[in-house]
Amino acid sequence: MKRDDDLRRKLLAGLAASAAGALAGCTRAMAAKSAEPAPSRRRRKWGMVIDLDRCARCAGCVVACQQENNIPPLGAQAAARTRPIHWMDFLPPASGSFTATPIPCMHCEDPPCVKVCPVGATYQNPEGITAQVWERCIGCRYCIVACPYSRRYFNWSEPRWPGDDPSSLNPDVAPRPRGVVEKCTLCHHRIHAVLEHARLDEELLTDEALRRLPACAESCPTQAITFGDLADPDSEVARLAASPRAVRLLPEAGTRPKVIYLRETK
Amino acid sequence: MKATRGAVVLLLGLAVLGAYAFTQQCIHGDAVTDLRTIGAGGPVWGLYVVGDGFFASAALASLAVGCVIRVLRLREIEGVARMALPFGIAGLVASLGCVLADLGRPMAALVNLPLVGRPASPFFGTFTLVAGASLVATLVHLALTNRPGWAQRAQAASRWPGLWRALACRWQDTASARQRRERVDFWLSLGLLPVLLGGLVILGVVFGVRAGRPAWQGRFGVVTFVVSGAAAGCSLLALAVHAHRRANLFMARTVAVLTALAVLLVVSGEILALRTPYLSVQRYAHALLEGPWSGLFWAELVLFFLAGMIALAMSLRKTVSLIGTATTALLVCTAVSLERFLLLVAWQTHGLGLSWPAGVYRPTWVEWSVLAGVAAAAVLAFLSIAKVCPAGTEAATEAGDPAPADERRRLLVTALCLVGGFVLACGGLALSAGLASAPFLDPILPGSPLVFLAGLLLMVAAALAYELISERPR
Repeated sequence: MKRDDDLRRKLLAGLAASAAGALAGCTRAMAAKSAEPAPSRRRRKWGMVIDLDRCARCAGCVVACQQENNIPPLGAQAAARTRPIHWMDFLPPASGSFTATPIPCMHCEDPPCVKVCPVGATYQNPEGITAQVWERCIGCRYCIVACPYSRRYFNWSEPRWPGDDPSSLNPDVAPRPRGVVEKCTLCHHRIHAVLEHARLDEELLTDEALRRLPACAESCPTQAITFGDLADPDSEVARLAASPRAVRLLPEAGTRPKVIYLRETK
Repeated sequence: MKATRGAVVLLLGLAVLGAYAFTQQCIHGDAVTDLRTIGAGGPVWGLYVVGDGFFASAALASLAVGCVIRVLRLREIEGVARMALPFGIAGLVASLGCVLADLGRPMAALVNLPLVGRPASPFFGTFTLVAGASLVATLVHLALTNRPGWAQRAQAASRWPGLWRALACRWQDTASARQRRERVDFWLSLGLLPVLLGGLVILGVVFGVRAGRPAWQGRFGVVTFVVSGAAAGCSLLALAVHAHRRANLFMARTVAVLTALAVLLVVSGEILALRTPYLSVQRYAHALLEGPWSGLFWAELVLFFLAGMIALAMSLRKTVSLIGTATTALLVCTAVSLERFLLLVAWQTHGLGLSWPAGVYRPTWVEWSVLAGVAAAAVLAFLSIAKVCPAGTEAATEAGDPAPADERRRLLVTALCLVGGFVLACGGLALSAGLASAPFLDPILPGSPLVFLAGLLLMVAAALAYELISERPR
């Protein structure tokens, strides 16, 4: 027993010393890692620029998004309980420089929602779109809590359409069941279709074909929303993103959004 | 620990009410709660996650206190370590109940987490370390610790001797068996300690760390979470061991120190938040100080202060009364629940980075009922385990001729379990994390998180192997 006690004392002392060493090492490693720049591996980097000078705040983009992505209209009960789903919404005016601002998912380069998802239901595809696999989602809502822009929505109840008629739904987008989180996909079904057509027709994909591709950009009457490849320096979206008016929301969050705003000048 | 029949009926009634409320939630969806969309009027995490944070942190902290007592072999307060086991199991089960009530698709979670769980998410740690390894290791610990008592009960008790004999797993009160018992106690506690502390810190990260807030605040939140969880766990443990005077005094001192630390952390966190340049953090701090959450914030501070003063008075006078201990436990638990609530809910309603309108949250009867049902089920589980586990320590049962042990076989199986478990755990973690592959979210091998968990459990099984492999002549 005495041998056991001696062994125990030596072991505890050794463990305390090695724990202190490991803690110091981990702290150093974490500091070094946070200083490293994120590697860039993507061919394309889809992004969006929203010109606030041009935006008429007509909410056409909000309606087009709802229609395109099979987002059920808000019922009276849900409205009373403030449980809306708007992949594209309007941020109320703050005391700062912005007035009401159209705000989709920011499709961050370093998305906090992806990091926290326990089952990989939300992920960043190789072209930078933060997407969601509805079927895999377990409804923990950690991604909603983690998103600094509050751009994710939970389906609190079964989705219902007027007259319970599913024939009016867009066949390209799967309706989401109760209990899962959903979000803006930058209309990646449209992007996929355009890319596939270009491949089959052996045509070069032009920037013009992409600019108004998502439903919100297509429906905007003032062409305030421009979509495209931010990695292509010749694209309209990259040119606008380089403008001195370009700003990103919450830069202090360190998420590097790919939805960029052109500040109001008026 | 004995409960009156009326108390048991009340607890059963609450559990049934909770089950009924949960069926309502299953039928109508989470719309029956008052949870809402962040930025559009409310929090998406509410009472259930607060309950999870409270139960899990109290359980993990009390188990960690028990492990420390066993590792340092503090014989005078061994009763605390003994009581920590059923208490920890009940708390962990309650936290699991809260998590399952909160999930939008609990059945999908039970399938997808073991299949494609990602180590990058803090939830990976909570379901592998907290819900898996900690719970199973504590059950194993409880079973091994109580073998001598069960063996004694098998001889003395007139009811169910077969059950006690089966639970005792052929315990023989020999010198070598006692020595093995001591060794297993020490190593299992030592091995479990980092798992428990890791689980506690991961839960703190889930509650405290968010993008868009200063890093210091996240760390502050984690430390406050851990300290207040420890205060809640210790105060409840003190109540559970009130019959042991020495243990009670030790627990009263610990609770006094922990509550003082909690008050210090909450106050300094608030002061720092008021002075930070981050607007969202300032909004949150003002909502606590003078906004809609101020009542709860000041109540939290007052309750912590009062609990600390009562615990301090008891430890200075060296007389610990049952009423004083119960009052302290009640005050600390309420304060810790409020602290969890404010850390979680007030951030979602008033700490948003963008100019979304502030939210409100008034839990519905469904949420209160489910939480009450889970708490009642946890208390019933604790009382049942405490009833099954004998209060006394190792008593002589069959002090017969000790058979010479086949140490080589025992050591070989134990070493195989340890090494095999370690290899499986490391492999499972590496495969889950997708190490040595292109960065992709899915594990290299579906089910890798289960392999990791199996590895951890195999390491726990080493304790079983070392203690249970029967002695036989060479």
